[in-house]
Amino acid sequence: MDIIHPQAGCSGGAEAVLGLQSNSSISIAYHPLFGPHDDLMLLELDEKLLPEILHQRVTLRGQPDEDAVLCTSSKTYAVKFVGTSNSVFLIPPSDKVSELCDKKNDDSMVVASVIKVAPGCMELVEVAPKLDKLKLLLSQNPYSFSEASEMDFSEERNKTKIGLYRWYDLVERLQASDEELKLGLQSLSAVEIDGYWRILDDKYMNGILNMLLHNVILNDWSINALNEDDVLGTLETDGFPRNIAKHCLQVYCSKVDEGDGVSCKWKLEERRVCGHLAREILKEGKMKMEIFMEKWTRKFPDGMHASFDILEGEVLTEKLGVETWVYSFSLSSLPSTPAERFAILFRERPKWEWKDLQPYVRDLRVPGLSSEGLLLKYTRRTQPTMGAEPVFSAR
Amino acid sequence: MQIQVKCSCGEGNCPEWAIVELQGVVEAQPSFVDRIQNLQIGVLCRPSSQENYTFTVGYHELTGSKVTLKKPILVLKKIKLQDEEEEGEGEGDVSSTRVELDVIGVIRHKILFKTRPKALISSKDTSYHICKGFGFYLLLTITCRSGFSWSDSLLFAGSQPVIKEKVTAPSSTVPL
Repeated sequence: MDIIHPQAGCSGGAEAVLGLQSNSSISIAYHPLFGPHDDLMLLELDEKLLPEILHQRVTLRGQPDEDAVLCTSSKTYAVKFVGTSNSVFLIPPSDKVSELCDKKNDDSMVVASVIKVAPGCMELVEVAPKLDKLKLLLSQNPYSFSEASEMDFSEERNKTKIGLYRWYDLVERLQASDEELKLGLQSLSAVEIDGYWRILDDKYMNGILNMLLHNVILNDWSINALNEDDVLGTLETDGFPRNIAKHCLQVYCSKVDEGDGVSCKWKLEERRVCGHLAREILKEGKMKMEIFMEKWTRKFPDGMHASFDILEGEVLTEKLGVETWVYSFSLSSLPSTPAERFAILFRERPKWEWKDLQPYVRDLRVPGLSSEGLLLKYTRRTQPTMGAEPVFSAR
Repeated sequence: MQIQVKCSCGEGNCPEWAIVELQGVVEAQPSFVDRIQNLQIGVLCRPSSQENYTFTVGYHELTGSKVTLKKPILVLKKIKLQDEEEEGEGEGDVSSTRVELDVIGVIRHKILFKTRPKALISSKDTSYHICKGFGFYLLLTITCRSGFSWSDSLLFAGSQPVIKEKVTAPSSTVPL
């Protein structure tokens, strides 16, 4: 923007206002280019966010029909416009040219010019990233066995990239910071294949895990010290690309720290493996507890011992007559926004005891609201009798 | 859609802008309404070494002070850029204009006037503040939002009084 200093008097700009000496005065006038200047906006923000802005790490993200959010490298903020009925006169600094202005020779007063009257200011409110859409997008085209077996038909595929998203495509569509988006991809067990972020469909995931467990038995591997090279090698001969096999390790195992640096060792994670096995068994519907336990424990790899408790957040039980039945109810299938999460939970069950509810709400994050605050806001807590377990229901 | 926020001033070199803020609205006389550029609004004086200020607009004198903002305010300029290359992946119309927000200034202090204006009746009135170089380039009428009337102002009979700053409820959609 060209700021031409006004003709009458010396142009002092913002410096003249802020540096006004005692016993002196300046004129405040409308700038020669005074106008609405809708392209000029004010944004109030914490001092600590300034370095992020100066290092180009801040962007506004969202679709044109969504509320704008401002993202730093690790956090997401809602942008709110706060209007004011005050007259806020915005005064830019003076041009360098006017520094040559010699006030002694000039009889007229120093002038500070107002370029715009600001109608208000934008403010930032930290919010949780909106990542439910990520699952929706990646579910449009999950990676499957049929796709894996297609070899050089990839040229045809290149023309129809429906439901395929690169990192940049996701950033353009989702309202989350880069770090939060990475965590979101991790929580979905997404993997980057040929530059596109994909989730593996159930059959494929199941196939690769079963192959891994099969190989554990076949090769008599220790489930607490799986050799990475061995695992990737055998899975590759079984038809699974190395990067996907590696991804399988990351999803179902955790690295064991070994100092020798030859090859990484991994151990199977009980909760993740048994959780998956339970989901597979309960795919067809609910099952009597005894039958479920028998089928489930039979699938455990040697050396793995897990109790039913490990399935909190994955399954629920209900009493039908004298029998207890088990069915799949996975936290990973629930929305991440509190209002929607609680709506679905209370639709599933009108009343919850805390021990059953906790696994399904402890991951909820709302900046500025504690977990007690969340419960207060979205649930009604009742205690049927003194000393009885508190029960939570919808507000 | 992503809008990059950048600062082309270079680190730590963001020029400091100033805000003079008062309650109500400053209006130009009807004959000047369409050509207010360059016209004086008023005179800002700092009578002593303290951070107290007076702002004289037309027949009214406001008193205020310099306030350090709790949080700095950035001045952003929306820039529209024409993209040369096209995306053309068949996903529908892709606009070739990109929007960027450039940080062109930072505001850390403002001169805030929140008192009721004092009417300056005549040049002989001792309540005149001593300021050098008074010049009336135009007469401005200060009108304010609803409230009580200025009983001590003969010149503004029937005009509306000063109220505390009214902040409108935060709206969620930012017009970008």
